[in-house]
Amino acid sequence: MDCLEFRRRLGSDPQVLDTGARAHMASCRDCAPLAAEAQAFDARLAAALAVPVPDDLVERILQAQRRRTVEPFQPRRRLGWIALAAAASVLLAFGVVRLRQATGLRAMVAAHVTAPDEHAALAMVAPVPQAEVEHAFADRGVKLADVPPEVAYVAECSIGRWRSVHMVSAGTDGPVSVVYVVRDRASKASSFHRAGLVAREVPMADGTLFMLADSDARFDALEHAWRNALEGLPRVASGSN
Amino acid sequence: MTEVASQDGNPRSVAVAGNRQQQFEALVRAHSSELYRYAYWLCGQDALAQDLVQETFLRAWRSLDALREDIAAKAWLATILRREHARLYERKPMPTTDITDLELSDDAPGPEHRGEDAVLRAAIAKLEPKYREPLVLQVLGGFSCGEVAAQLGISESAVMTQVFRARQKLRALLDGKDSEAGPHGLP
Repeated sequence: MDCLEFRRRLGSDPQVLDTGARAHMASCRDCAPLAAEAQAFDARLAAALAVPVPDDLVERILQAQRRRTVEPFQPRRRLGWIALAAAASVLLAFGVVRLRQATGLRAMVAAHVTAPDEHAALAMVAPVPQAEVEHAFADRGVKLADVPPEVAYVAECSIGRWRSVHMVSAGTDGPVSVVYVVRDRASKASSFHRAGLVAREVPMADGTLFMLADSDARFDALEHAWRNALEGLPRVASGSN
Repeated sequence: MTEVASQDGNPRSVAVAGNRQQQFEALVRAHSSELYRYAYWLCGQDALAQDLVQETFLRAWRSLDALREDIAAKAWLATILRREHARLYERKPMPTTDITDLELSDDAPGPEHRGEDAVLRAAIAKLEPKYREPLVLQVLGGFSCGEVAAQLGISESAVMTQVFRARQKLRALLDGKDSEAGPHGLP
């Protein structure tokens, strides 16, 4: 190996020199000090690149992961007379509770999609693989007949006691947060406003689809696409006249 | 007390989920610092770098079953992070001046080295991304030129040229020269 080739390799990766390069370094008076100097410079470089890492980074990541994947353990209980009595009370109060739940769920979905750690999702535009969307729904026990296009973000999120799939649909008119809450079907489709966003909830399959955005321009198309995906049946969107 | 929810609720599923959780936590503890630094030098913003790392691990969690060998984890995570950054970048181009205006805290080395590292960091920040990124992967990530090439989807010789020129440029910046002439007398 000549000096030119040695120095070229040295400049590319001073830390990894092969046998030929090491032999040249050992025999060349001019190149040996250059190698020592280059390796010292790389050590400085490594130290400079090692910016301080936030102390709570690991815990923050693990908390975010637990929030999305861990849910309170709910042991099965035997249906005794206490449960029967409680069930009777629940049935009596069902109408009121259902209304309060629906209102609470709307607020929680809006809070979830606007939370700081979820907000970055709105910036995403590149489509995620269809398999990833199908996988997120499958984890929630839902099989999709189709995957609507333009899903740029998908995550399995727990919103309070509800389990959901949170997505962002990218589009030229701006992103739309789409949240499918499983096993909690709204009684009817309705529009509402929360957190400065226009929103629509639509009963779909066994759950409820929420759409939230600055504008409802894409809601009809998204509702149609997701109804196809979840029910396999094209219907007229609830916002259409 | 909490338990990982399983599809069928049987004990075996819970145990598998527990192992998966342990594997994930080990992955986070082993690689989060390095990934954060990589993210930081990609985007130049502390908060965004933290978000990128968090999102990277959340995506990794969903695809954890695809990771067959722990040895491949670092490259796998770096690839996810690069994609996440690209997705953000596509939507909101980062101001190119951001990274040079950073308040680069410098409390790891002794006081006598603070100024020196600060100057070097500013010089690294001034590098064009095409030079900075392979250099960061090589020096910080410990990847070989071949591995960096695979990460970036370019040839190994291109990586060798880029990291060579990156070092040249850094030396020139530190010396206060605009010239690309290398310290080793190479063009």
